Amino acid sequence: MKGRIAACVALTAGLAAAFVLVLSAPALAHEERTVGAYHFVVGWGDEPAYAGLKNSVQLILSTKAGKPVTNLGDSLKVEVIFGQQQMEVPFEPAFDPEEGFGTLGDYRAWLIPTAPGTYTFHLFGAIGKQKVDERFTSGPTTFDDISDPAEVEFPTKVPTGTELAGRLDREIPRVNAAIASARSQAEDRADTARTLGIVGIVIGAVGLLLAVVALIGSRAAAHRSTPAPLSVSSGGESRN
Amino acid sequence: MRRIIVAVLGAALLVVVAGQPAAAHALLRRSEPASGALLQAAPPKVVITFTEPPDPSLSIVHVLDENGRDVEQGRAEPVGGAPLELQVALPSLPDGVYTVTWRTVSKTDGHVTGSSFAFGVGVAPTGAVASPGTVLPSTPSPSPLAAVGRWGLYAGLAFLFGGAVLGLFVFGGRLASSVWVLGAAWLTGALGLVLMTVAERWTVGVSYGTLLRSSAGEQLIRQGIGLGVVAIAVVVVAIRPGKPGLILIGLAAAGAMLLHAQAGHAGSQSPVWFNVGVQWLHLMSVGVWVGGLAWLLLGVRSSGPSERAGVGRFSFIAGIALGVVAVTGVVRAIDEIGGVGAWRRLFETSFGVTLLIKVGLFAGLMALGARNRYVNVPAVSERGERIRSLRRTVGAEVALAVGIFGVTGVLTQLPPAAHVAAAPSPAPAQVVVTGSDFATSARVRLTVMPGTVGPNHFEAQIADYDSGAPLQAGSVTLKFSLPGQSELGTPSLDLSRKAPGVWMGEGTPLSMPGAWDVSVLIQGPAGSVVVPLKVQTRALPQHVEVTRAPGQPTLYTITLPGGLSLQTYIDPGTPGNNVVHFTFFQASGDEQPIARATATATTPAGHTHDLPLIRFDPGHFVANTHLDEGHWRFDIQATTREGVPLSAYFDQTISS
Repeated sequence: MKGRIAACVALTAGLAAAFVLVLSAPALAHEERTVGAYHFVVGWGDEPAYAGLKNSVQLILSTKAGKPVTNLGDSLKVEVIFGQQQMEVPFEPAFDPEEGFGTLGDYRAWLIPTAPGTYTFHLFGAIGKQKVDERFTSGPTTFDDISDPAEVEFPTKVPTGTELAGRLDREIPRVNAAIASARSQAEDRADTARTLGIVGIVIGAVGLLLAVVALIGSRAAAHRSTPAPLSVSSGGESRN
Repeated sequence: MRRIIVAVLGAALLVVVAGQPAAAHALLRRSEPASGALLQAAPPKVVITFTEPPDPSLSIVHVLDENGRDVEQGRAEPVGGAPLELQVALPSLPDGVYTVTWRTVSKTDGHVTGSSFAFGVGVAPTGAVASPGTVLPSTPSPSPLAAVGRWGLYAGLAFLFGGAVLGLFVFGGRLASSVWVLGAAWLTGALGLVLMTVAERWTVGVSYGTLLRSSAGEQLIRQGIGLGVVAIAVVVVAIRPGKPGLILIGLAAAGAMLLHAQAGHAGSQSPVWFNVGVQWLHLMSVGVWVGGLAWLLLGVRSSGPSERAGVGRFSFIAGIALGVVAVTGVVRAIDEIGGVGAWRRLFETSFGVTLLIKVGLFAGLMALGARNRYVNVPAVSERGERIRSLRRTVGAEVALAVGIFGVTGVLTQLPPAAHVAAAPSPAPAQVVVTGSDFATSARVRLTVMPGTVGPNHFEAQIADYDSGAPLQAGSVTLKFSLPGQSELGTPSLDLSRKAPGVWMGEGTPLSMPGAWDVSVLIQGPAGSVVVPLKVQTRALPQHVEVTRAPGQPTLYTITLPGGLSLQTYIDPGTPGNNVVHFTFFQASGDEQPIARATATATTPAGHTHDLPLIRFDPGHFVANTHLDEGHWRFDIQATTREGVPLSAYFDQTISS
């Protein structure tokens, strides 16, 4: 009988411990790291994370003993790094102890990630007297990369603003090049037409000139070939 | 000493045989799109690169859609600055599988080759006329008519040249036989050329006018002119026999041989003068040796003093000719086989095997020649004995030589071993897809090898959309998802940079058959782009038994791993509403319980859609579907209650 009671107690304690562990674990894919006296849980505020949608760098900060840190102030900052680009974003508490709102120790740095891929969060500054300089990079073993929203768009796949801007950046030079090419062709054709026109005018003028010369020449020839008035002799007198 | 000489001659024989003239063929080297490629967008043209320059006026390239209609625009045209290429323009093609059939004539020697391959636009080219990666036989079988024609040309020219040389150097400036024999030899050569022309016209399938205006026709005309000059020389000898006439015949026959050498493969290989020169010497020395044997047979009928002296002189000249044949043969053989280290091609190619057959015949010829040289000739020239034995042996040699000319006629129609090696072997099994991002900044060509379910090698070629230059990227990641199979998740694969714009990786993300969505994420220093692609896994060959009974639907029994099988049929199998049945069985004949199953149908146009399955029994599923007339493919993926994944497919043509 005692053994059964002990088994029930052990099972209850085990289940309770498992329950507590499950509840206390981060709900999303986040990276956990203990640095000095503090425990960091870092990831995207909304996961899965998609490009073009408002999101945040989430930091759940607690002491090594598990007590939430609620008085971070503005001493700790985060630099979001993508490729060779970086941007500093301030942390804000996402809780209000007085109103009983949110989870204590949950800080957010708001941003809209616009490109899918791997992001790094560089946390720097200080928590109390402890200096902090830590980097958290997204990946399969840490927290989610930013995904292309097309994966979940339905029924129509809508390009992101970045994609539209990229398309415009690509199309504008092509359109300009096409316009320049068309303009060049049009100018070439206009030049050709102008040249042909000038040649036509010159040929016409020469033709006209030749016609005038020919006309004058023919008249002169006609004039020269006009027979002189016949002189008629009659009784030794001339009519002239 | 004699044994040493025999051994040397035997070795010479081998290289001589290997060096018989061989012509070349314009075989397919590569194509764009490649055989078996799956393209996201229709290509503007098809470009085929051959191993030799094709003759555009006699070459044909057709692009056929799934209904067998020609879709290409205009004839095949040469590509500027690329003499080995032909291109044909395409209109804007809808999604589907396209088969490229080509037939071309080599500009070098007029030989005909043809083949076909398939590519897909938006649809994997499975089940097409040519399966992905399959290149059909591209060299037609040797034409008997052309073989006879070449035999006649070789025999005629050899006999003419040998007659002139023997007349001048063996028989004291006179012909060894009647001038009518010369006429018959010329007629044999001329008839051979005519037969070659007729065979070429039949093979190419154009009018004689078109053929003779082509580069292949020009070569035939040149050889005809050469034979015309020989005819004049024969007439001169007929009118005024003597040394001048024989010299004229020798020169004219040598000229005709030179024209024939130029029209062969030697004429296309650099340095041309050297290769043609070697080939020409080879033909002339064969003429002296083999042609001389025939004249010897005609000229030596008794054992008189002049005959005895002539036999000795011929033996000396034939020895020199044999040496020249050996040296030139070695040079040509090395070239045709593709180098000394490529001797295995003698056993691995049709060309090589035909050469070996010729080796056997030539070995017999050499044995007879050795008997004459070391037994009969000394007896005849020194003692005037064994003249009949000499004639019998020479007669056998001539008969064997006639057979060898015939084999040569076949040999010259086969692609040389070196060219067969230069042409691609059947393309490796793979799936190739291409695409670009929405912003049109990058183009991706993804090659998946072997493209089947399981481990695959992935190679992504990434280029700028406009310039085609390799695109700089910091990382390239492939993300996979199979529509309708969310339980598989979205596995990803990071690729490693191997060269500018080339990224590779290996993995098993393609865990089930189907059309996978693959997102290529290219991350650069200032941003990233995503290129969406569709990869249809290739189906592995499977064993299918087809049972047809009058009045009954066609029953397909597909063998599956683990002793399982799938029986499937379509009822009624005519256009309209149909029921597709899938039943899994164990080796014992009992039904195999299935935990879950999905099926797809691919329309004749190549579009794939899901087949909603209804469970009838633990291992029996049916799908009600409407089928149009045409060729359909049905795929099923199932998992047994024990968790074993199964997949199978079958094709059926729906007709009324």
